[in-house]
Amino acid sequence: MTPVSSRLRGDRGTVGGIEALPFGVLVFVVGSLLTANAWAVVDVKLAVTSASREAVRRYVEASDHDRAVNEATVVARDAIRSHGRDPDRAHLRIDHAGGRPWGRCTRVTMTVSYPVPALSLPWIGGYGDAFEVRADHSEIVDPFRAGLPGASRC
Amino acid sequence: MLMPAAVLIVLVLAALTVDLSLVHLGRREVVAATEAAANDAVTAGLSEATFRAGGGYKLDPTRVDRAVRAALDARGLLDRLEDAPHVTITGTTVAIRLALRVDYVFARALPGFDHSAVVAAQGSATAVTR
Repeated sequence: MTPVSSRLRGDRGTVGGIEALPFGVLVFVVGSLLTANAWAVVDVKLAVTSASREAVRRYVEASDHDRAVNEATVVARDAIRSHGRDPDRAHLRIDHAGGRPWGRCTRVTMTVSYPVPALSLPWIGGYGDAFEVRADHSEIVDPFRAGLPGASRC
Repeated sequence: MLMPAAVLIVLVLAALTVDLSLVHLGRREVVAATEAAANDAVTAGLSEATFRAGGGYKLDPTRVDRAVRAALDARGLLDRLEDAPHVTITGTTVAIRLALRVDYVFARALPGFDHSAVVAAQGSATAVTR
């Protein structure tokens, strides 16, 4: 029987090209992470798109400004939560075209943003904030709707 | 030999999934845009002069078109449309058809695949008196 020290000496028995395997594994891991991160962006985009749309709809149909802001915030948070995301991490921005106050004919654009982690891992969660995914929706407050004060000045 | 091919196939399928999801997102976006624009146009497009003169609820094509463009511009979609918005006015109904180009992310790197897809949607809104 050949002693162990003799058998481990030399290159005999080594599989040619074995050094390529770590690179293959690396490509697989990096590719999987890239795809998972891209999917996380798509998933968050679905959530923020729904949130901005629901928020604007509620905002333009409210009876006054304060109620509009409150209701829009609530429905945006609900939409984010219903997509399995944390509503506390979402940010809602409300813009009125031309700086007009809430009222007839005012164009409202709502932007909902949500941070996507740099590295998403199943069961464990995400690490770091790579970038923000945003979606916006815009509508005007109905110029001739009943129940609103003031005249229509579109 | 089979393992690298399997890994490659899995990655390509995952990339296709992401790209097709982007197309789905684009379709959702254009559907929301058409509905919002139609909803805006059907009220902002009212011809006030006709209404005040007792002519009933008539839509002014110029005002409707302006409202549609303003709605699309506010969403930043005007530059991404394949062609001009197609607006149809029928009585008190405004119907809008849009076609939007959506760029792929991964498929651009694959030979033989298109770099983008065109998604289309139609939305309408009707003004109803109460």
